[in-house]
Amino acid sequence: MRFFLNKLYHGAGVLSAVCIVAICVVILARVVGRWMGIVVPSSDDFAGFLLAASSFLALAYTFQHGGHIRVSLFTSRLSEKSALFCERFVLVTASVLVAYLAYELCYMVWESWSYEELSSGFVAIPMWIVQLPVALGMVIFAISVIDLAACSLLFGKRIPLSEEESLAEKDFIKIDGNDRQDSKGEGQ
Amino acid sequence: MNELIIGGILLVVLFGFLASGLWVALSLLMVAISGMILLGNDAFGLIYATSTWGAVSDWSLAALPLFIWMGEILFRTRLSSDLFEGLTPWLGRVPGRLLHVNILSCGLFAAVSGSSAATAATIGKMTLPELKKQGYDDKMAIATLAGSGTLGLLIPPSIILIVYGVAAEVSIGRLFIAGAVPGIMLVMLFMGYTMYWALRNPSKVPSDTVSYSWSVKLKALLKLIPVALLVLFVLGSIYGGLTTPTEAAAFGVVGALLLAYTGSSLTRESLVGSLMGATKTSCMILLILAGAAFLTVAMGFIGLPRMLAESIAAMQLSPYLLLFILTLLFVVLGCFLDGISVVVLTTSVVLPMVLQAGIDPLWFGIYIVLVVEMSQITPPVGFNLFVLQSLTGRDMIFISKAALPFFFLLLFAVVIVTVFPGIVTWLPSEMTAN
Repeated sequence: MRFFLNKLYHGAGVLSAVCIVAICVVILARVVGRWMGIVVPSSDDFAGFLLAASSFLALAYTFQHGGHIRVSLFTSRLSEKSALFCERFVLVTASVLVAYLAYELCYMVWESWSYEELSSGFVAIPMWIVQLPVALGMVIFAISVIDLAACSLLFGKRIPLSEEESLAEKDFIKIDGNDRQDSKGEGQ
Repeated sequence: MNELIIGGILLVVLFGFLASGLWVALSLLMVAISGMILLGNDAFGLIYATSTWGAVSDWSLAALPLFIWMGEILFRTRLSSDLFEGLTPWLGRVPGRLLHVNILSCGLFAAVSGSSAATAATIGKMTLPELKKQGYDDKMAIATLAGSGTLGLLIPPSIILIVYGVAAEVSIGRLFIAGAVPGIMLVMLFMGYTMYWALRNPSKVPSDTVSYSWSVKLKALLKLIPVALLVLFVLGSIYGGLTTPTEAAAFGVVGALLLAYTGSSLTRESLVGSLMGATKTSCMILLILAGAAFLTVAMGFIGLPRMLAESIAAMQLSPYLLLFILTLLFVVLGCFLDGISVVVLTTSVVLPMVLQAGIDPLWFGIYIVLVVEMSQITPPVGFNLFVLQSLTGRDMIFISKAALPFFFLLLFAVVIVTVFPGIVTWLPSEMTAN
């Protein structure tokens, strides 16, 4: 189960990265085409659709790596026990919220499908196809938030630190080794 | 229910969720939904879906992941050490010598990386031990790093300016042009202060031991050329009107890949690492932007921004007083929120008020970035200060005191830009006139 979920988050993240490469290729094709007098049809629309797909498919992956920003200025001052309580509250709130929003995005896709909506650009594509990755990404995000909430409630697992937080906590360089001890927690 | 009561409740909801550590993007969504419920509007699910789709499928935003990717590629090359080695021989005769390497490498590195914490950490990791070894004053070494680490937010191609441009519907190309002069002004202020300090405190700067011959200088210059060309090419094509920012970003990625390839630092690992890093950062920013888009729509329904704008107009508040109050507000917000969140929160609530007061949204974008830079080193809670604390192992009081002059220099820059708005608006209007 754990293995399957991690694969799911990572797979969606990789798909999202592929979308970013695709954005780059589409934009380059558009400029090169312009130089040679060829119009790449609806390249703007495609870049937008790819961006939407990329940003939502990566939600769970980013979440698992602590990439989403949260304010830890206050919670990091709490004791171990109250910090865990705080994280549980936040995770349960987020689970409910994200699950609801994922439902709304799925509903949007379903509506686009049932009304057979088309994109407004030169190349008309059924909207549900380009909106589907957004809804899918949000559903995977909801799964990952609920996953972490469950792990927090059951096993006391903590929310992963962001890269910048670990940048601010890691001692990756020491210039004055002897200054180190008395500086912890002072004057913050 | 009265708008003011709703506004008050929403403020409590916002700060409650933020302080408890709920993710910023989700906190914005929570506030928006609470507002809609208080208003008795039950179509918020539908409104959420449409505003989110509209916000994230906007093609001008495509510049964002591409610029971030470009930065991530360059971040993994030898760029930071090339900057250090390339700049050192040239600054041998300027008062304060190696301290200027800190400022200039941060400025250049920031132009491509866009994250102030990462800039301060990367450059500092290399320059701080060297400065220490040569006997420079610790305090000033840390101070120059703290101050110039924030330059990345302003110097184009800046991520935060793209976010502002999209959220406030201001042309990103024009914002990039507008950021150039204030960015150079800031670098000059920092360097000027460092020279003044070095002349005042000759005992804290080691006496000159190395002098560099011209052949060494020219060899050093060669290390700087590739990255300078890349920056010139990307910005030049935007400034010259040849490409849109998004197209320039795509070329920037190609250029960065080329640079990494010729510097033989392009491995499978670094390529995948840069791409996944860019994916995470751009996903994080877009989730916040999508949340802000929904919040803006919800605020429109509640009518809070309009009401604030009208009351500002009725009070006949002078623009200067308004800016003074906003500056205080942003510095406080910036102490615990990151720059991007401050910008999107502002555009969804404050922007109508600013426009009502007759302030140019282009100018306001540069102003807000300057204030956000300032908040990054606001003693004793600015985010850059925490990074420097872990980097140096010094206590927060020492770091805050060291960074204080640079905090005031940034404040001074905000004042100059307010008194002479032409510094921001002159170049864009000149360039679009032709």
